[in-house]
Order: sequence, then C-alpha cells, then structure tokens
Amino acid sequence: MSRSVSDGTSSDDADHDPATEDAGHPTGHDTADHRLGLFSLAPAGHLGLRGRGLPPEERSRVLDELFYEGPDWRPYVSRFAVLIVLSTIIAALGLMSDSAAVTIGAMLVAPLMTPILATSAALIQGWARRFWVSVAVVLGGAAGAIATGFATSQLFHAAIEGVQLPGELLARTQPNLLDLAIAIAAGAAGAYVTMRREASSALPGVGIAVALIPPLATVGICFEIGRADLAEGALLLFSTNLACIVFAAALTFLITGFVPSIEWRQARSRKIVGLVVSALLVVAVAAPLAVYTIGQVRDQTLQRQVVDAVADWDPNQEIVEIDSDVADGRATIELTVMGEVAPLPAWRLADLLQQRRQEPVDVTLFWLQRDRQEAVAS
Amino acid sequence: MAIGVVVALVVVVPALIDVLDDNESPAPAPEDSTEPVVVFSELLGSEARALEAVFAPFEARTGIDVRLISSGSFETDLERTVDLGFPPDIALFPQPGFMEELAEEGRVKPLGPLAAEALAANYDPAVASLGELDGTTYGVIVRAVVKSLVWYPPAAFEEDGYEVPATWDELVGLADTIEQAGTSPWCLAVRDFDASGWVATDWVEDLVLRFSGVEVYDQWVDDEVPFTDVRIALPTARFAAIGTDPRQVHGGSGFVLGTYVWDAVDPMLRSPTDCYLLRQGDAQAAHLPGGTRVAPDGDLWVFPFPAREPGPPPMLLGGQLAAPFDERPEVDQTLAYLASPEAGQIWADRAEFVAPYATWDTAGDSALVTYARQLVDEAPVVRFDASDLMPLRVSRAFWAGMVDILGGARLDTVLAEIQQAWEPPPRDLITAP
Repeated sequence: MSRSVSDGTSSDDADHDPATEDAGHPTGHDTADHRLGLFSLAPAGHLGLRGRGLPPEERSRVLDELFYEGPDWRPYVSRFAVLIVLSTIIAALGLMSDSAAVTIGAMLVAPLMTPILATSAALIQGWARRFWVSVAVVLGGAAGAIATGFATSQLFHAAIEGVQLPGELLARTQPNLLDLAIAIAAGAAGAYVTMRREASSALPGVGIAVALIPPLATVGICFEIGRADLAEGALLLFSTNLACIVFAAALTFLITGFVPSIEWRQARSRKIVGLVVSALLVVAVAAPLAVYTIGQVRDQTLQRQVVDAVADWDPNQEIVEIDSDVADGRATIELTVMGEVAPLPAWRLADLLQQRRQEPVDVTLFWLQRDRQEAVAS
Repeated sequence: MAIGVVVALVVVVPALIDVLDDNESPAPAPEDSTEPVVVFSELLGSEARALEAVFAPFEARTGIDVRLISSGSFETDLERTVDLGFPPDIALFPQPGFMEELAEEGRVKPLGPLAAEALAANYDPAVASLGELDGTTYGVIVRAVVKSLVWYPPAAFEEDGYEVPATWDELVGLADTIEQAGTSPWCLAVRDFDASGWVATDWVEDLVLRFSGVEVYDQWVDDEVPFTDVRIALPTARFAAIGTDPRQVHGGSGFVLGTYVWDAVDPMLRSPTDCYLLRQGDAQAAHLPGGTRVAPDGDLWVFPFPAREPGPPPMLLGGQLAAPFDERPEVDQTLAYLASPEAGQIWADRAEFVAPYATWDTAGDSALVTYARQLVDEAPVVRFDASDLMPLRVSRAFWAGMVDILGGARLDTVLAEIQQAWEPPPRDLITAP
C-alpha cells in the first residue's frame, strides 16, 4: 500500500513517531485481534466517504493546520490567547446586550475549534503527547474564556444589574438533547471540512452551529452576578459541545480515511479505548441533558396549563410572571397577575389546575393593581 | 378459561369488598361515589400535605373521593362560596364563632349519626362541647393549637446570660435588659392577608386572661364586657406599648405591619439573633425553615407566656372545628373518620399540634407537643381564642383594629370602633348577593 509508505515520511512523524509510542505493544496482540475478527473491518479508510484514504499531501496539510509544533508553537499560543480574550469579550457584550448578531460575530472570531479538532485527530491516531497538549490548550482556553467573561461582566456590571437577564444569555443556560445532536453533526462537519480543502468555506458555519465561546462567556457572567445555578447549565452546554465534537470528529477522521491503515493497526487498542472514552463522555453529558430536557418539557407543559387555567379562572387578570416547578408529584406555582380589580380567590385557580393535572397543586398568588396617576410639570 | 377467571375476579372482588366495608361501618355505601367530598381549610404547605396523608387510607378503603381545597384567606373565601350557594361539604373552621353564625343561618348542618357517635366515643365531653350550639352539635374539633407560648433561641439566651422569665414583670424586665444591650427583644409580625392582625389579638387575649381574669374574659367573649371597658383597654394598652415601641420590636412598624405572620421568626434565627422573644403558638413549628431543631437545647424552644404570679399560667387554645354543609352519608362518614384517633394519629405524626382526643397514644408526640400538652394539663385556666369565638364581623374588626393601633391609631377610638362591630349589620348587607 503506497499510502502507508509515504505516511512514514510525512512531516508529523519526524517530530513525533507513533511507532515509538506504540513500542510497548507486542505485534502479536494485533494479530490476536485479527484472529478473533474484532474490528477486522479496519482500516476504516476503505469505508471512507470516497472509498479511499486521504492523499498524503492533504494529510500533512491537515496536520499542519491542526498541530502547531516547534517554531510555530509560541506564535500560535499568543494568537490563540488573544483571540480567546477578544472573542469572549465580544460574546459577553453581545450576550449582555441581548444581541444575537454580535454573539454570532464572536463565534466567528473564536479559535477553540482548531485545538478541539486536534484533540480528535490525536485521539484517533493514538498520539498521547499531542492529545494531552491539545486537551490542555482547550481547557486552558476554556478557563481563560470563563475568566474573561467574568471580568467583562464585572466591568459592565451596570448593564445587567437589576434588570431581567437577557434572553440570549438565558438561552445558553438551558441545554437539551437537541444541543447534543447539533454538536455531533457539527463535530462531524468540522472534521470533514478540515480534511476537504474544497469545502473549507463551510468552516465558519460549523463554528456558528456549535458555539463554544458564548456558553463559556455565559458561565463567567453568571458566576459574576452570583447565579451559579445558571452557570451550571451553561457549563453543561459547553461540555456537551466539547464532548460531542471530539467524538464525532474522531469518528469522521476514522471513517473518511484520515488514519492510514498501517497506523490503525499499530496501537489499535489504544485508539479504540480513546474512541470509547470519548463516546462515554458523550453518554456522560447526555444523562444530565436528558434530565434537563425532561424538566423543560414538564415545565413548559405546566406553564401552558397555568396560562390556560388563568384565562378560565379570571379573564380580568393578566399574567406578569409565572414561576413553576414540579417535584414529587406536586406542582408548585408562584404566579404574579395584574389587573384593575382584585382577582378571584386563588383556591379556584388551584382547584382548576388540580383537576387538569390530577395531582396536588400549591399556588402562591401575587396581585399587582393596575392603576394610573397623571401629573404635569411645566 | 383464563378470561373467565379474570371476569370473575373483576366482578366478585369489588362486590366482596363492598360487603366487607358494609360490615365494618353501618353506613350505606355512597350511591354516587363519583361526587367528591370537598373539604375546605386554611391549611397550607406542610400542614396541607399532612391533611392529604390523613385522607389517603380513608379514600382507599371507602372509595370516597375527598377533595381538599385550602386557602390562606379562608374566612373571605368560605363566606363568598356560601353566599354564592356553592359551599364545600366540610369546612375546618378556626373560628367556632364563624361556624355558629353559619349554623344559625342553617348553612352548617348538625353532625350526622356516625360523626356524632365518633365524637362521643373519642372525646372528652368538655372538649366535644366546643362544637355545640343550643344543645345541637355542629362541629368536631380536630386539632388544637396551644397559643400561650413564647419562642426563644436557647443558645443565644445562654450566651448572653438571659434566663427564662417566670412572671410578667420578669418578662418585661428581660425585654428591657435586651433592649439596653442594643437589640430589639421582641419579634412581631402581623400581616396575613384578610386576617392580618390576629397575632395581636392573641396577645391582647392572653393579657386579658392574665390581668383581668377569666370571668371578665368569658363576659367579654359574650359581649357582656365591651372592648371600651378599662379591663379590656388596659391589657390592650400594655400590648400597644410594646408593639409600637421601635426599640422593643425588631424592625419597627415597617417590619411589624409589613411582614408575613410566620416570617416573624426569621430574625430570631439569624446569627447573631436580631430578636429574642416571639409570642406565638405551637403552630409556628409548621412554618420554620427546614432543619430548624425545636428542643430545649435546639435552635428554638418555648416557655409559657407568664402570668403575674409565678406558677403555671392560663393557656389560650385555638383549633379547628370540622363542620358539615351537607347531609349526604359520605360527608357524615368523612367527618366520623376525622373524629377518629386513626385520622388524628396520621395527622399528628406529620404536623405538630395537640390532638384533642380523650383516648390517645402520646408516645409519638414531639418534645414541643409533649411540653404544650403538659402546660395545658397544668394550667389553672384554659380558654379558646376569644376573637375566634366572637362573630366573624367582630373578629375582623378586632384584627383590623389591632393593625390600626400598631400603625399609631388612638387606642380609645379604635376600641370604640371594634365594639360597634357587635351591632348587627343592616339586613340588606347580610343578604347581599
């Protein structure tokens, strides 16, 4: 196979020889796997989307784009740091001013996608050192983004103090299973685009579809305003995106023939372990996401029921705020209504809701009187 | 064959259960068991959950669907449903006076045979007579709360060297010492929607019982001693002197008038404590933040609201009377169940109150309930909350008047206004809508 021969001379291997890392593995191990027929479909390059592996020159270009080593390292790190700080500032300000356009702009500036794809590539190649360096860059960038978000929020604290939190910000605190699916598709797209230069115009779209910096900025802002509960949701969104991209990209690299067959055979078990671990990470974020999703569906149902019930209960009242929760087969609703005349008794609302939901309902009702004063100063 | 067995089971087993049920209770099975028995109360939060638990086994056993509706503005809402002609089937009245008014109007019905039998079997006759009017029994007392208690934080008392007072003078002295040390002694809050002010009427009632005696108290309840009488006005003035003094009550009138009744305890639970004394019944136990320990060495404990002389003071009680608005047999059955120690035991296990039954296993009672029961047993005089015994319009005037006094209104004017509420209202107001 000509592919594997030329691979030996590609630029990455001069710096880092996978064979060295895999020296501990007796070759007999691999043959045993073959005998058992496990993973005998590998090298998966043959299953690639084009039925063939990546040409060697393309492969080295991709590696150059993903890994910055030797003299490239220092300029890369400083560029990365500057872009992290700038994109987070843009994202944080976009979130705080509730501007979707500014937030999308931040996504295009964000540099996190490269080290995440590098993590996937290193994972599927079984390069331990490159893997950990990439992970360190990603986590360092994430920490820097959270800190920048925190600092930006502190600097512009007055913008969100005492007002209702912007929708753009809140949207990043309630991840659900859809976000997981989006991140998987976007991770696959990211890896695919990275390998196919002709499709590289699609890369910004990948960054927008699965935003990394805005959730991190949200984490920082939420910590700064003392809402750890919201920060938790945003951190879960980032973790989801991260785990899903790593997994989907690794799988894409494998399927589309980024991994040469000879390398696949070497240290195959380590690569499989890496792939399995990243799949497990996806499962690990899917569990809390499922809980979030079920909770969201449940809360939305309850909110809809409250809105309907209020209309039937007292059409003279307008809903100002609903705070509802379901726990242990019991709905708790804090409702603020506004009207010109006092509302009908709250128990009738509780009774309506109880009959519709067939479970106990606790209602706390606040009533604001809509009143009017006129004045002139001249 | 298998289908036959299933059909047989489906048909026979419920019939069998019905027969067994009939054997257990002589009441005829409800004809239309789909119509629920609606129970209306003022119990919220953990107290509402306790009541749900009380009815769970009853519903399972009898097939009667008990619907519980609770409202924080019980009196207003009950009055409105009754006026509109849609009363509940059973109401748990905190005010025997209100129940009697509705009984006189023929809205509340006399107890059915099963409930009357359960009352006779399980209650001390003196307690059972609380629901009586002119020889007919309308209500069953299902819950008693002991009101003449003062809550305090034992640890802060020990740390600051304060001692539990044994007389009224010692209590006043303690409050002054605390004030001089730079903290407000009393926690007081009276806001409770339509019933705002009841905390203050409890204070006055306790002071009338202590300073003017039980005879005056009883005459006052029956409108034989007016609110304007000096024997009522003086105890009221004693309370007003404390309640309107911004150095004696935490947060001044803003906190007193603006804070929800059960939140009065919050500043006491702070560290360091912001007030040391809260005159409030054992019902406060259901309204404490989770994890608060009520015990002599806990976060909070109580001492009896002292009398002039050392020794056991009089005790003021409150409670709930369950009374029917309907004579359907399942309503009677439900009330009879409420009057049984079985229901009481489930209830008392979940909410803290002194169960009023004569035959009662006290082993499961909490430290607070045990102490409250002991104080009631030792008390030379036990009386039901006066404002709750008066007609509802007088209770309301009394509650509202106390709010006015705490807001700085003149005592004599307010007392004269409250007294006027005894005059029956014009006819057209009673029969409105």
